[in-house]
Amino acid sequence: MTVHEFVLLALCGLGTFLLRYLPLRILSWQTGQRKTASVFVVRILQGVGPAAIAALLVVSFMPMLNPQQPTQLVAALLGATTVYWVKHLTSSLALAVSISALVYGALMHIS
Amino acid sequence: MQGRYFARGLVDSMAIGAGYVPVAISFGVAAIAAGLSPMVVILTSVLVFAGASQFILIALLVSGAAWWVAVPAVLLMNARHLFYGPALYGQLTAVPRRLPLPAWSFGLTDEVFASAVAKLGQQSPAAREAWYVGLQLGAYLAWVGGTVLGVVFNHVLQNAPIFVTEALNFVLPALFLALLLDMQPKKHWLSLCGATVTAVLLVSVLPVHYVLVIAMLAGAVFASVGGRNDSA
Repeated sequence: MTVHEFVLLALCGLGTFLLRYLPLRILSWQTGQRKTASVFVVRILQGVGPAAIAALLVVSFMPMLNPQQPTQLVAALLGATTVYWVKHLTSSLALAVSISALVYGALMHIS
Repeated sequence: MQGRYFARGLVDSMAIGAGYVPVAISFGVAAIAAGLSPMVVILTSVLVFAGASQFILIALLVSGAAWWVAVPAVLLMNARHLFYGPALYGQLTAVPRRLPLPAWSFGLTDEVFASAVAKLGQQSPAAREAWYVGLQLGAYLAWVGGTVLGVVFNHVLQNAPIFVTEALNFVLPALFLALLLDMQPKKHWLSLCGATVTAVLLVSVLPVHYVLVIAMLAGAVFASVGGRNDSA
């Protein structure tokens, strides 16, 4: 490993950590100073979580929903249906994820 | 007692780990194939721990990019992480904090954040901090462990059966869908609709990391403008 590689990795690691840490640090400081965020900011932050999950779902699913590859489209839709029913019947996140992945893998394999 | 909550967080991180391990293996295999040394590849996962941006980092390292080119590129891809801590802060501070703030933020990836949003509220206030640290640590170990597997067994893993690789491709989409179902979609329908419509419109014209930031903000703005609790 060269010094250049190490410095680059260290800077990327430190920067990524600070992106996660500094907003918490600032909020913690504001709380200590008894400064409160505006109602609008609080509502924005409450909406970020569900919106992030929806956005992550869309960007991970969209490449599979290609009408020009009908096999993958059908496998993805059946996999999603499996997630829904297994989650509904068992309430288990791990089971829903693993069984649906097996269904998707099997459908792609036999097609 | 805190140990039990921590262990529960580790167990709950297994769903994330199931998605992380294959992606981390792919990262390890791709990085070795690109000509990086095993030490550099593993250290990337240990220090950066930020999925997609690590794949960009491989290309930048291989091309010999200067730090002032590579670092902003990686940080720009990870800029969405700025919003994650503040969005969780209210739930984590329901009880007095025992751990320093860095322990809350070291592993705040997309999947850890999504899992925490969906499940943190289901933990008792006293359990939240330990559960959340367990969740982060489990995800981190899965990512680093997967990278090590990719580095060590890269020749074997390049020839894995198609069934396995296809199944692993579906793990992360399935995880996000299951998390969405877990967090009562009707209660958050405004932010979900705002983010979904925005992401669908943009995903074919912009890079994914921009789509995520814009869709998250759009969903949050929809929720804040549409109603106090974003409830049906």
